[in-house]
Amino acid sequence: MNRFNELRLARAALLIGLGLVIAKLLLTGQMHYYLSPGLDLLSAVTGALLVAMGALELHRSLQARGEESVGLDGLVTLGVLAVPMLLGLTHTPHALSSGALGGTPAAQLVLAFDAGPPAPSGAAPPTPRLTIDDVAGLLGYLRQAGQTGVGQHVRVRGLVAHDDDLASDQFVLLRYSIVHCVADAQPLGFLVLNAQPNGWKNDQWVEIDGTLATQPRGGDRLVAIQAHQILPSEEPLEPYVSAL
Amino acid sequence: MDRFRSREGSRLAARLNEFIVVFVSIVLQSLPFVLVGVFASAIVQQTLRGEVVARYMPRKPVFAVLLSSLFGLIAPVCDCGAIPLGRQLMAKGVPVYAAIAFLIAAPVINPITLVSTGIAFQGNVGIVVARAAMTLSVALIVGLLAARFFGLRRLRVPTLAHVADGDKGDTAHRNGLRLGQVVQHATGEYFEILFFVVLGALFTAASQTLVPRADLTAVGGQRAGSVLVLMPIATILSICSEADAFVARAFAGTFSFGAVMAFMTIGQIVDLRNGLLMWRTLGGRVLLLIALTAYPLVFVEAILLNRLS
Repeated sequence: MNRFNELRLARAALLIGLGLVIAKLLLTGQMHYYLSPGLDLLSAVTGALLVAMGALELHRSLQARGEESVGLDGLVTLGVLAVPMLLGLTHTPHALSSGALGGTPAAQLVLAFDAGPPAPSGAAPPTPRLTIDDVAGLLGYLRQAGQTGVGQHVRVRGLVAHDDDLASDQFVLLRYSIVHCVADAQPLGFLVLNAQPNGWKNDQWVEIDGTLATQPRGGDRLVAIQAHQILPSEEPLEPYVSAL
Repeated sequence: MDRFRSREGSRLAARLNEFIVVFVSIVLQSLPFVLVGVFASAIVQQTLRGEVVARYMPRKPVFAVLLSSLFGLIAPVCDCGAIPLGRQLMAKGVPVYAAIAFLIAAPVINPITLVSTGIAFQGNVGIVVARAAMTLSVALIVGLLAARFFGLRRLRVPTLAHVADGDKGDTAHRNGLRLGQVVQHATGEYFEILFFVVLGALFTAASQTLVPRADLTAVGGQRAGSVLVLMPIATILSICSEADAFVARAFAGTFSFGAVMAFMTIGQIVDLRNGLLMWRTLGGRVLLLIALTAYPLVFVEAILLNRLS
């Protein structure tokens, strides 16, 4: 009589489990809290392959003659591999907060315009090629227009990050950009002017409607947003700016 | 008091979330690249005969190391995939010193990484060439030192799971490539590699969450200090070779040119994520040789670059 092969059965469960984690994260949109949207297709293919490999292992475990027990080494290996699978299935992820700055003051993260003469006052900013409805659009516009974009209407979302070096009606709007995954996250900051003093808590998500501005600091000209309206916001479905 | 407790509680929850998302994201990101590596390894295992390796591998270590280093140019594997492939090459008779050179060079000089470096630095060919040259120099020198110290002695390559399954790779090629055996081999090796990837991800996530980097960046502008600071950061961050150039680009405004180049070089040679797997594959003495050679060499090269730039 054929008996279950424990080792292959456990491997099959893990492979299929990892495939299911990927499927769950992709279907719920939670994958974008871990990986760049540019890797969605690759992740989907990987999940399908893992399930296929798991199904093959399951088939072999049913076919195997004699029992192959897992053993202590195997148990440790399988236990370690089960940790990311279980966390992926059970943990509800949130975007990185200002705690991930590792103690770097938020004011140091504010982007600055490239060196060069300031835009002539009174000139209308160039029309954006894409709608500026979040940070990715704003970054694209900054690449397009540079300092000549000052005065352009913008709408962006991000986390509030306070800093003692800033005035009471200022804070840094913080977002993280990623290339592949959260482990390579890099912070991006925009100085928000005209904010209600003490009106916003650290790490609170807000949506800002305002105009692109600039603020001198040392020899730099910081990228700032003159806020017209600041509203509390939900954490976006794509919390990171993708560099892919 | 209650407000303080609540603030501390939410801070702790945020740190825990940070740890979990970094940990899970590293594992998720590694899954496809490890798959590529183990399937490449399985195909090599099924198709490459030991006699072929013995016939075409140059006898002189300098040529063997050079050939193995440059093999990375056509091997479509990043740092996660290079280890299973390198391990399989050793199992097929490639001398350990040549395999070490491949393991060091391949993650950086593969076409995907070189192109992503070029994109990250707006097509600056000089940076791409400098990165490849720095990595190759380490691969060559470590490979030659390994040839000197370890000679033709073959290292204990860890037992692969497929061997226990009765999968006799060296005879399988005579019957042609069998998909079932390739998958079986790849599955067995996948578990072994993934075990160390997960442990490495745990260490990396813990380091990223717990080690404050703010004080370190204060010395970013100093020529030597900036290099000394960015090198361990690269080791701790353990970023995939295809993504690290984009992070290095972000450091370019704060740190010296040499430091940024050192970040991209040492991060693929001595890193927490793959360190355990390298230790398992090559052993502690070889790992020590790599670290003790690569760190000072990359440091000196970075200082030279700072003087020239």
